[in-house]
Amino acid sequence: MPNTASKRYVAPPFRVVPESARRIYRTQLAVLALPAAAGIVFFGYQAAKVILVAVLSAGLMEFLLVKARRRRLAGSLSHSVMMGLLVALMLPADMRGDVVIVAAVSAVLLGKHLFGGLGQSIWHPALVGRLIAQMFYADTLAAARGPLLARDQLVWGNIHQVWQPAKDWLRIDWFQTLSPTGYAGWLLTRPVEALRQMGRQDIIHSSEQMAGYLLDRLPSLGHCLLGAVPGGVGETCSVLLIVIGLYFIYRGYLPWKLPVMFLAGALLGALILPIGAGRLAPDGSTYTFPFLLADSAVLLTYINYHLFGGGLMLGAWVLAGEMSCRPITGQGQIIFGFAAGVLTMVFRLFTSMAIPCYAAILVMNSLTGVLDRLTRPRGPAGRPDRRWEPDR
Amino acid sequence: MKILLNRQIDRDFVGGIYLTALGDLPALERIEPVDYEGPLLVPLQIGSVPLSMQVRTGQCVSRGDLLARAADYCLYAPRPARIAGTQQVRTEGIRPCEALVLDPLPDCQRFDQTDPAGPADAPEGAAEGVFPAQASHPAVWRQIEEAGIVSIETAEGLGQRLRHLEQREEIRTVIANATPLEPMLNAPLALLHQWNEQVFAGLAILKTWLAAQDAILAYPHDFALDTRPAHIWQVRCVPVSEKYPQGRAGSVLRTLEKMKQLPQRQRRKRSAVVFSIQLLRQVERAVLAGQKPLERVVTVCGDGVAHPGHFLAPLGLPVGVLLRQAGIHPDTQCVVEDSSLTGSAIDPDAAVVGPCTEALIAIRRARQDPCQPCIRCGWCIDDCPAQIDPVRLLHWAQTGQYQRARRGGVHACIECGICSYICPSRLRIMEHIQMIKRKLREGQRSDA
Repeated sequence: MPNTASKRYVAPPFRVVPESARRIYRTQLAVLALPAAAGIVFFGYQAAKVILVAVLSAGLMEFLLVKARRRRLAGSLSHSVMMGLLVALMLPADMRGDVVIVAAVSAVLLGKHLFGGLGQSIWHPALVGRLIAQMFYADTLAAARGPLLARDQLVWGNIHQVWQPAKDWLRIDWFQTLSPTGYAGWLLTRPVEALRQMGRQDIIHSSEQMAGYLLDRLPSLGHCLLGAVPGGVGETCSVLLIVIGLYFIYRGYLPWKLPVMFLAGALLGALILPIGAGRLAPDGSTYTFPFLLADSAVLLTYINYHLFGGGLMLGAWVLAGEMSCRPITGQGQIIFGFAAGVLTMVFRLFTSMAIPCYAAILVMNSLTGVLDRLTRPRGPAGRPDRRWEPDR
Repeated sequence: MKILLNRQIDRDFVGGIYLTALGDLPALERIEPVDYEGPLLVPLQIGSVPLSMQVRTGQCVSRGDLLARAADYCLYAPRPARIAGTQQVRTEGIRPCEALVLDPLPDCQRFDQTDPAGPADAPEGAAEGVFPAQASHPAVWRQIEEAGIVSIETAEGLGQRLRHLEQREEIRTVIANATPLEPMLNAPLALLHQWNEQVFAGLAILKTWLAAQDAILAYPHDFALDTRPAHIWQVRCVPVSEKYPQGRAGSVLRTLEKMKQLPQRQRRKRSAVVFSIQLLRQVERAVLAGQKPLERVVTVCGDGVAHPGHFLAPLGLPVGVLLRQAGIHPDTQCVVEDSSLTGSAIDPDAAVVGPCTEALIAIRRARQDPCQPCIRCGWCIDDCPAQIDPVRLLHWAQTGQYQRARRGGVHACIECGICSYICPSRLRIMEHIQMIKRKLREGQRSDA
């Protein structure tokens, strides 16, 4: 017969708790290995170096800080390692080691522990690290073009040995074209940068003009879905990121409203925000609203490039859902997601920010406290209400 | 998949979670008698109300003789016995109290009591005036009062509860809640399975007593309920989900309101009242058969017992007897009374079956991990049936802001324990909320 008098089981619940903080972060870390693996496939072993350096730097920083503070929390190390991995996923595969180290260390030190550690961050720690790297290494990280391995050089190709003269996507079909002799791949324009240039270099008046631009300057949509485009190590494979996001929703780590509203906001922004604002055409027109274009197929393609190119999928399905930085209520998450999506498009089309999606999430992180205050449940106001006495 | 479909189909109160069963489910077809001939320890306290003894040491009593009483409570001897004095026991998990020791005496002549303060006297503290139901059915009222039925929902005697209900606005609907609080606490379903007609009759009796217009039986929709008596006794049967805490009165009221089974705002006007299945059967037995509640159906379950089941246990039965009969494992870490989310761990060697004992859950592995900082997952807010902000209440509790917590809706908390259970940081949210309520009751005005 158990003698509970001598044991300290005084407080319910007596069931094993279904999820723990440690388990949440370990699961997320394990799942995020998938886009990391995809990055290694498309960008070669150099991407593995970036990932390794980032993860080790973040883990070491966490270890040192835990020693210094003499306070160890279950799940904090997994969380920091995950932040390091996310930093690596956002950086290009040809990045120097010092950039990676600065970004990963900043994420843990400044983005997380400066605010109190696990669960206390205002901004997403990995985005803080990415922002700091952008500030200190803007020239290195601002390139509109990036390397991509050919399909016959996957995993083992050297990302530093790519055909340097710029190539247009018109002449490259990654699914068909083999690597040039003596090289592992090409230096190609990032799809999002091509979209941004559309409004700056040309004035789009018609569906035909837009269709011509998209065909000439951008790869097929399949490239963006699969991940065969230049970009961060883990931000290009959109299909995988969607699957990961759905898994997080299934586990309850990510509320479904947040990524859905993020994508809805981005879609709305792509639909209504004018292309080429500020430029004057010979006929006096200044800019074009996409939703006024006649051909809906062209419009849909344009929107899809915005959604699946760049870091938007990583932002919507992974980064925006960081628990300590997102609003705690459903209503707040809806506003947060939608506003982040719209802001992403605003920053993309009207600014020259190198990381428009990540900056949008950081801005919305700043407003999380306000959204919480506006949307948290308040309970019956005023006097204690006897109607609500606990019932058995 | 079934749970997913249920979530889509059921129109339920907001929040709540689906719990899995701890261990095997007790069988519904069998309510076992308890094989025990040792002494019984009948507690002389119900809730926080002490009872005054009506017998003396050495006296022999027969089954059904009055042992003790208070204003609205009566305790009767579960079997022929000899009063052997008093002893300290624990009821409701941790509450120590005096108990009458009844030594078994198979053949005993009944001796007349020297100070009969028995059923012929009106109970102390009877409400002023006579209510219409009392006036029209004095014999029924007498039987209900004398039976000593305890209403666990409000932790008071049924007679007192009925008086309070009659003082309220008009009661329009009486509801029987047959939904198990947790999947393995399925005693209501076992009672419905065994004594279907008695439960419906008890509900009909209370409906007539309270002059209600409607009677509803809420039951889990995957339970094969025999609805024939329902037509006879004019009770509507409404299937509901088994989402926790549907077994609580407030939750089932919200569900019925959402399903439009209750006229609008009946819940808020408190013109609908919920009774438990065991209470209804006791009412039927008391009114129609003159039987007093000398035994209770107690569920013994959990992963710490080999043979979970329902037992017809006499009052005062040591809990250890039930646990041994259910086959408790030697490595069971603790035994919990009532619910695995909100109950209290008991000392099985000192605890006895009281008038409020409903379930004993033997838990093989009960971890108590240290608390960590909140990671702002938001699960406590999403799953809270009362739609309050548990984590903010926790913060106010920790900083002594009790008045702020009162304004923030701490009294709306139904203490279901979901927030503490679901929290990945192991925060003891419900404990802190209970502390705030205690402080507010004590009149603390500490506010940082």
